[in-house]
Parts: sequence; structure tokens; C-alpha cells
Amino acid sequence: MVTREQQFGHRVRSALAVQSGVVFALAVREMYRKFGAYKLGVVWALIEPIMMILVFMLIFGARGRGEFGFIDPPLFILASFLPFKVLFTQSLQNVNTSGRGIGAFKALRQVSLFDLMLARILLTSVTALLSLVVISLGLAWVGYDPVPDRLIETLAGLALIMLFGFGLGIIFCVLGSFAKEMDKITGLINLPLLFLSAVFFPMTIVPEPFRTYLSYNPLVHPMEMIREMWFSHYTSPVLDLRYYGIWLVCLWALAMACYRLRWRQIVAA
Amino acid sequence: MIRVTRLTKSFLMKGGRRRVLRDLSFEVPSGSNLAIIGGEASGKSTLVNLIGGVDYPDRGKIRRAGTISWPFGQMRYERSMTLSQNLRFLCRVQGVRDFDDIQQQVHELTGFEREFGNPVEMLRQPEQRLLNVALSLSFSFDIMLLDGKPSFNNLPNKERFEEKMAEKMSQSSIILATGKPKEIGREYAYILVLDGQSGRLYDNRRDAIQAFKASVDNRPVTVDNNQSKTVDTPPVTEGGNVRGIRN
Repeated sequence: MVTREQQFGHRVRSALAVQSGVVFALAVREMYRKFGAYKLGVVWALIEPIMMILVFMLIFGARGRGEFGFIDPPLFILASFLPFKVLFTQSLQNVNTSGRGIGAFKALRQVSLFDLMLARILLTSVTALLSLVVISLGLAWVGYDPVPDRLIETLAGLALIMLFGFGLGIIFCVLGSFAKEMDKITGLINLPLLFLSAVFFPMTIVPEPFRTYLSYNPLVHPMEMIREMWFSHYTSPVLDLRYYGIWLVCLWALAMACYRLRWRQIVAA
Repeated sequence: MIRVTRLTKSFLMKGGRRRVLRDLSFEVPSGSNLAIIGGEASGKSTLVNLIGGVDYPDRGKIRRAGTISWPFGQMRYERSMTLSQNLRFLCRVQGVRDFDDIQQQVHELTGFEREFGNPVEMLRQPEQRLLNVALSLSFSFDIMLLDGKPSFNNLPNKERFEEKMAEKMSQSSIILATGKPKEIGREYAYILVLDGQSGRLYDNRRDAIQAFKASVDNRPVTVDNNQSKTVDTPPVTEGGNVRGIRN
């Protein structure tokens, strides 16, 4: 039998070694590219989401409205805005704009479009998790109890909503290669989605029949899941993970099909 | 070893689809150098890019053994990152662990000192050209791609570059794309002549150059235009397949 080494030579790495090296290199590069010019440098990767969450806490939380039930307003904001504004919206945006970023790697055969998307997702997720930890520490210091009641399930909910943004980002990226106007549409859908996805209110305060209408929106389900897992005394009236799972699988099938048909044109453009 | 099987590549242009390579097949054994020669727009650069894996065929397979370089001197940088950060990125992508060694080699060739800590956008045009060439000479590959014979005439330390180039040429096998027969020396055991449609591999320099001259003379300029109108190629949707290793 011919070994791999005899066939390709000793310097050839396995596909997995190449890809993991590339994704790590890209993630580091993306970080420097975005934040390298600032005085505080890559620390901004953390400060940015933290500042955003803090501002939302001030705007919505300080009013101390009663509709959150017995969930403390700052915790509610953290459990809603971090998944939606960082994990969903930013994943979507970062993957969507990957098509424009890939041109810089024309000479590097190792770097594929998907690697760049993966690297950006990795960076977004890691910064989201780190800022979650930092904000939680801050809240604990002030006297709240920021630890989710069911930690693993909460993290799974965060991963689920990130995957939705990732898949949708791939589809938008492919559509954007047909018409640049797609950027305008992605900009437009963000705000309505914020209102329709049970971000700053729990589904318990939505009356029927709107509760049923809203629960057709797949994004409601991971948001409610995170809430339910984070605060054990909250029970969502609409949570249906099966429904969301079907959405996710179909979305990713479509995303992968789109990507496969179109990545050459995106890279060549 | 490079084995190309039934390679077809076309580009979508304003006047329609223009085919540059059609059903090209050839094989070059490990360790020998290959020169690709052809007239203008005969697909030399395209073929180099395809072999290098930075462009993708419509149909056909390219198999290669060993690591392969990027086309010589063609590298893009993240302009807001420092040169060191760019180099480190490149090392990670290429799987080179010894970053200091690469930086040392670049330093020896270019004489850069403080430039390593500065953003690449601060480099002037000639410095960037210098860097492109030096970078290609600092990494080692089993196969080295040259799109046109590199000229070191305008660079400072011309001798050092030529020395390094000779060293690289002795270590790796070379694929050179050129339009000038006189650039093809004895070190190229195989010569592929492209005639704008397909190509033929020769292992004899004199025959190859004769075939090249014939193909250039026989090719009236109008042929291209006619072809792009009459040959009705349906858009190729099936994936071209670059086998081999993502190295």
C-alpha cells in the first residue's frame, strides 16, 4: 500500500490540519483588521457588545416595567439582546459580507469562502460568550444572580439562534452575488425582526390571537427557549423546538445548496 | 507529478462565453520542470492559476503531488495590519511553523527593519513589489509556479535575489508560463504548447518551439471572435473537480 507520505510528499498536511489552520489564521486576521487601528486594539471586540448591552439595559431595564414577570430587568435584557443582537444579527451580517472579503485571498488556494464565514462565526461567538461572562460578573458584583438555571441548555439555545443567523447569512450572501440590492433588504429586515421575535417582551404578555401569529416566526422559539432555560420559573406558552428544528434543517439545506451552486462566481467576482 | 485530465475552462465575457482551454490532458512526472508557452490570450496564466488551485475549471481534473506555491509575486495584504501580522497570517495558512525563519529570510532579501512593525499601507509601490518577490522566495514548495519569468533587474540586491532564485529552482520543480521561447532554458524537460484551443506536450525543445511558432502564425486574430459567436456553449453548471490536496 502506498502511504499518504509517499504519495504526496512529507510536507503535505491533512485537509483537517489545513482547514483548522486557515480558520484560526482568518479569525485572528479579522480581529486585527476590524480593531487594529484603535488605541485599545482588539479589546474593542469585547467592549463593543458589552457597551451595546449596557445601553439597552439603561434604556429598557431602568424603567422597571412589570411585564417581565419576576425576572430582573437587566437579566431579561441580557438574556434577550445578547442572543439576538450579537449572535443572530451579527452572525448574519458577518457571513453576509464574506463574499466581499474573500477577494483579499485570491492568491491563497487554501482559503475557501466557507472558511472565511466559519472564521467570522467563530469570532462572533467567542466575543459573544466572553462579553456574556464579563457582563455576568458585573451583574453578580452589583448583586444579581446572573447564572442561568440550566446552563447547558441555555448555551444550546444560544448555539441554535447563532446557527439560524449563519444559515440565513449564507443565503443572503449568495443572493447578494446576483444583485447588490440585497444589502438594502438585509438592512431593512433587521428592525421588524427585532419587534417580531419576542426580543424585548416575553411571549406571555402577547395576547391571543397574536401569540399564535408570532409563533410562526421561527426566531421566537430559540428566544423563548433561552428564556425558559435561563429562568426556571418562566414557562413559555409557545415554545416548539420541533418546529424550529424543521426550519433550521430546511434553511441549512437551502443554504448549502445555494453555496454549492454559486461559490465559484462569488469568489471570482 | 502533475496530471491534468480533460481540462476545460471558459470565461463569461460581454460577447458571450469564451473558451480558453478545451479538453486539455497531459502528465508531467515528479521532479521535472514544465514550461507552458503560447501566444497572447492562449490561456497560459489561466492554466497556471488552475494548476495552482486559485482558479477553478469548468470540467476536468488536476492531480498534483506535493505542496504548490501561489503564482510568483502575486500576494495581497491586509493593508491595515502590520507586515509581521501579515507574514504570520501567511505562515499559518501555509502551515509553516517557523515564523521567525520566514521573517529573517524576508529581512535578508529586502533589508526591511522597522517596516515589519508598520502597517503594510505605509509601504511605497517599489517596496511592495520588492516584498512580493521576496515573499515568494522565502517559502519553500515542491512545485513553484511562475507566471512569466521573474525579472530582478529593477530590484536592489539583484544578485542576492538571483542567488535565492537559483536555490529555489534547484529545490523544487518549476512550472513557467511564458510567451517568449528564449525564456525556456535547458532545465525545462517538458514544454506544453497552447494554441488557444487546447495544447500539446513536448519533451523536445526544438519541436516545441516550432509548434509554437506555427500556432502563432496560423492563428488569425479573427478566429477568436468567430468562435465566441458560433460556438454555443451552454453554461456549465456541473462542478469542475480539482482533486488533490488542499495544501
